[in-house]
Amino acid sequence: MKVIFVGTTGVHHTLIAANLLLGWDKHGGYTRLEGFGDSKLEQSGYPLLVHDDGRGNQVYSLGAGKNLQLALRAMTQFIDVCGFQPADLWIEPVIIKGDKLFTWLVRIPRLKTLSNMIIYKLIKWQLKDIKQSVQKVEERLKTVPLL
Amino acid sequence: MKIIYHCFGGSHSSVTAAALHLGLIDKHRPPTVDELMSLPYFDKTTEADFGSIRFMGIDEYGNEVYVLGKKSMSERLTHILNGLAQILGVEDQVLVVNAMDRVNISMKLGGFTSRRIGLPSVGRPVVSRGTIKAFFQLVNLVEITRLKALRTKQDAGDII
Repeated sequence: MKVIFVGTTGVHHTLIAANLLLGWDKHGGYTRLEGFGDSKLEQSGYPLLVHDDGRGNQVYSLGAGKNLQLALRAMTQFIDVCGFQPADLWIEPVIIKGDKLFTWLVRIPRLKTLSNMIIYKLIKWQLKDIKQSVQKVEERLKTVPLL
Repeated sequence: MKIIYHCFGGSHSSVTAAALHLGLIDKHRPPTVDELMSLPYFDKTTEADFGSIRFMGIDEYGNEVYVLGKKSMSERLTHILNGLAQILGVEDQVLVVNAMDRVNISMKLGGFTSRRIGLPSVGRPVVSRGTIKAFFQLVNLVEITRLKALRTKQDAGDII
């Protein structure tokens, strides 16, 4: 199964969610995650493959910008149009307060350190919500047979 | 193959391009306002249609043609959908086409007035005139897309 965590950006809260699902809990050192706050990665707009969970599930992170709900609808319908089921590609939104601000901050590479600090504070404050999204996917994966 | 034309509202340029692709309007002469208005979805979408992939028809090669309104997502949505296609392993069966770069100022102003402000009596004549003005630009986009689709099918051995 393939899992995509989708948020306003793909290099912050969604990246953390992907890492949490993979069991790579950095004990709060999330800014040291590979790709965290990387504006070039974010600008590419493509889903970022974070890793395989070792059970055949590939975990991705994706930033859809400020029109997140629109993108989620288009993605869900796209999967259907292509003849796949939601179970083939699980889309999990990661929504936290202030996440629209991330899309602005990530555009200013010169302020990367400051941006990451602000974003990190916002994320840390709402880590429970991110973990809830991860938990939802974990529950879902339990029902999928191992490859 | 699935071909998805997208623009800001999924209401004007993408619909005209899809209609051209499907032969619903003649590519050799600009359409009349009545012809444009008779197209499915042309200047008829609502806020709820943003992000909806709407089916327009099947072309002579069996390609399914869709339209999509993406607001200000620009090329990001193209990348997202192409990325999903890659993940699903169907990248050679999908063409995501941005019609926004063929849109002129009349289409933007008329479309905004008609769809966003909700004054079709004011915006519709402007957007229709803009669409007629941009018509051959859209014909060009569709011709390029049709060739790409044909080439992809030939590469896959579906067409000799």
